[in-house]
Amino acid sequence: MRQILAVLWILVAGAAPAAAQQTAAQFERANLAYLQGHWSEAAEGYRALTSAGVDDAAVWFNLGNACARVGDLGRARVSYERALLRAPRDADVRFNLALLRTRLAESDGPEGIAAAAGWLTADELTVATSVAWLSLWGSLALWLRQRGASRGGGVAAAALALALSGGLLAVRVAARPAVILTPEARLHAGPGRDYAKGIALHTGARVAVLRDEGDWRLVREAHDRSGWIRAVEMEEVAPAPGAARVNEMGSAP
Amino acid sequence: MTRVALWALLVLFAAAPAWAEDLRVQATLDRAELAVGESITLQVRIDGAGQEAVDPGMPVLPAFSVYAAGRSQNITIVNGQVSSTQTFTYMLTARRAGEFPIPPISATVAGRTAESQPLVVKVHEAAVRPRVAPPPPAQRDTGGARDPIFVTASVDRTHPYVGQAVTYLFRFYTTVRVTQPRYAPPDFAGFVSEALPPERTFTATVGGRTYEAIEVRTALFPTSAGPITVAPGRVSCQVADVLLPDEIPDPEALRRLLGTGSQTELASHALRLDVRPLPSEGRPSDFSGAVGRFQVSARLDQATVAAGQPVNLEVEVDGEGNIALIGPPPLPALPGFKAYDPIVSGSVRKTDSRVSGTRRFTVPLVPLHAGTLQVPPVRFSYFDPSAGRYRTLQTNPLRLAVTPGSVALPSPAARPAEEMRSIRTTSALRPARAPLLTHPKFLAAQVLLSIALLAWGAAPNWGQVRIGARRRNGGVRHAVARLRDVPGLREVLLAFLSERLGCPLQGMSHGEVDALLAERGVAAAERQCLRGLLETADTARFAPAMLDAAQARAVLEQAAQLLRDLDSEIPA
Repeated sequence: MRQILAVLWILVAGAAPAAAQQTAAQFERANLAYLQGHWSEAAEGYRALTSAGVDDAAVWFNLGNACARVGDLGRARVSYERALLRAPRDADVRFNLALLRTRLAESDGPEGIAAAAGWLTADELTVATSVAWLSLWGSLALWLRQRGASRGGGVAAAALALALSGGLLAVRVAARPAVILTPEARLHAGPGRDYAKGIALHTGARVAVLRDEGDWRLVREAHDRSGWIRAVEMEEVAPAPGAARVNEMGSAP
Repeated sequence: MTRVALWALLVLFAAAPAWAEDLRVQATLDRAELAVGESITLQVRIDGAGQEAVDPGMPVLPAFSVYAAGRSQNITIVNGQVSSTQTFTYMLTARRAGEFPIPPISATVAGRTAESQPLVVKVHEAAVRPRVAPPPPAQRDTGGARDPIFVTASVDRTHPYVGQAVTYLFRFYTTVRVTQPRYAPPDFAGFVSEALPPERTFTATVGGRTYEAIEVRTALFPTSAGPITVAPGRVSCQVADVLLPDEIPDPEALRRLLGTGSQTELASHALRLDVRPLPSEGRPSDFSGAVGRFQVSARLDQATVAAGQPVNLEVEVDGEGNIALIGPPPLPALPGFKAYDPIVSGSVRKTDSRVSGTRRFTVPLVPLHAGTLQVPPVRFSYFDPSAGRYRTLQTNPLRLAVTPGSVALPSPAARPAEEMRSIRTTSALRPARAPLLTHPKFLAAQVLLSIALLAWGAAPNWGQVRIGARRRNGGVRHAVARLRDVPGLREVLLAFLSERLGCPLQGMSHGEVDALLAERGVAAAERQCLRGLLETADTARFAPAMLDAAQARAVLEQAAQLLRDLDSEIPA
């Protein structure tokens, strides 16, 4: 019995490093293909990594570069946006995304609270909200123990911090950004082809998903115009894409 | 003219539905076994895609380097039925030994999807690959020098190195009139092929007989070492068998009308090549597979630039050989610059049976500070098959004058699209995980910590309230309970007051007790009552019979009432 357990332990202990080595080798191969100018092959390699469960900002960034190289600007943007969710203060990701936006002839980026929320990861916002929440309770506890006028300021400050961080977290959690993948996606007045057609969105345009209805999504574009488009014409950026979503991504042209 | 247009329309309408043929994908390999470092040809044939541009979904093949070697399309119209075939050719170079599956390759056209059958490739270590003897040269040769029509095939060298150009010559000789000659080249498995147009037509004398000859040339680059057989090239044509007088204005039209002539197919010899491997001795570390004769040069597109502004380093490889397969040369360390990914461009020239051309690698550089910066020499290594050895070239060092400027990189809008920042070559490759916000343990910890904090804050006050209340209520109740007789009344009252006032009163005179109570704000009526009760208690201690039972009870009740009044006036 001990021998069986020992063998099992060796198998389990040995499997993890082997898988990690395979993943690292796959990453190196994709990088090599990219540096040799085989960008489609590189993109496939990075996609294979994300399909295998790797969810790292560097891999999404590299995939964005490979897609941009082969002219698949929609998927390049999805990849950069995913990299940004995981590494929001990464200068290179921000730079290449800004560069891509100029290629897409976009003028303005996210503003206001959405831009502020974009400087922190969801986990960082969660930790900040948690700290503010506990600070509120802590200052309340102090106020209860030693009743004095000076303790009221601490409670108010903690409540303000909680409102701010909680608000940013709520914005982040509620947001469903998506990117148009097809050359032309028409907004419809309702969830179906029979409804009146509105403006057309083009590859790489960023939209916010507001509602689902079957295979149709109600979206709002950058200039606050809303309409319904088919789900297959776009790809959602967040929440974190699992393997299934990655598999939806076709090969780059 | 109207009639012609009508016919054309009819043909189009008849052909349109015929596009809706079944979509089929077929994958074939030129061989199923090879050694590490060698290449095989994977052909993906897609039938029924019409004129749609198709991109076969090539699976990731980690065991191979995949090189797209070309695409061809063939559309056939037979009796109004249109069929189309697109063929994609890939070169797979084995990276490691083992048995590797090639998963099904899919293609999607207008919502229809089809998949090829899976394949398996066996890769041997280089030393143990079984050498499969090539088949003997084809014994059958259609026609000969004394025949009125024959074909030949030849190569300009039979022992090339891997990657060295070989010119394949296919010639078609005829002394008779032929129509609709159609050349079917071999599939050139084991080579990367480049057609060398144009076809050459000339008159040749063979065996004392004069022939009209057509020559088709193809450049071949062997992808692996060992014996390789080039399959026969073929020509099919219609040979005239009716002699018509020369004065007929359009004899070919008449032949077609009469249906004269016989269909003939001619095949050349198969050819055997023994491909030599590139020598491992003397191979430079930066050698990346270039075979031929090349020159390399480098230049900067600006001589002076402001710090932070981009400048392009253009490295150009020019020469004769497998130019399209050359990758970027490794860049030297570039201190003072930030370098971006190279942009690859170039051109291929096909002249005089030779493939040559230019491969240009444009590397965007951004100088990070002012001063005179130097771009060190760029090295480029290739194998020269005529000399049988490797050669390494290097460019001249370049200087760039950098004027002071904003070191910060310019805005994206001012930069060309190619100057994106390069990929990351290192990564922790973190696996996907659930957000912290949805982690049950994290949420439970938040709730528990909140409760703990609240309890910590609230507990002391609750304790004080409880202890005070217990002390207050319990003290009065306890004191009242101790009022059993009048003589003991003094002790009970003073003990209660001592506790409330926080100081012992037992040794004090009635006047001192009264003054202390007055100082704590006790009303004069209570003080008067207390004084009376203390005096009654003193009297009763020395004359117990002075009070009857009813009087004693009234005194005790008065004392109990006083205790309750004092309890509210002197809080604990």
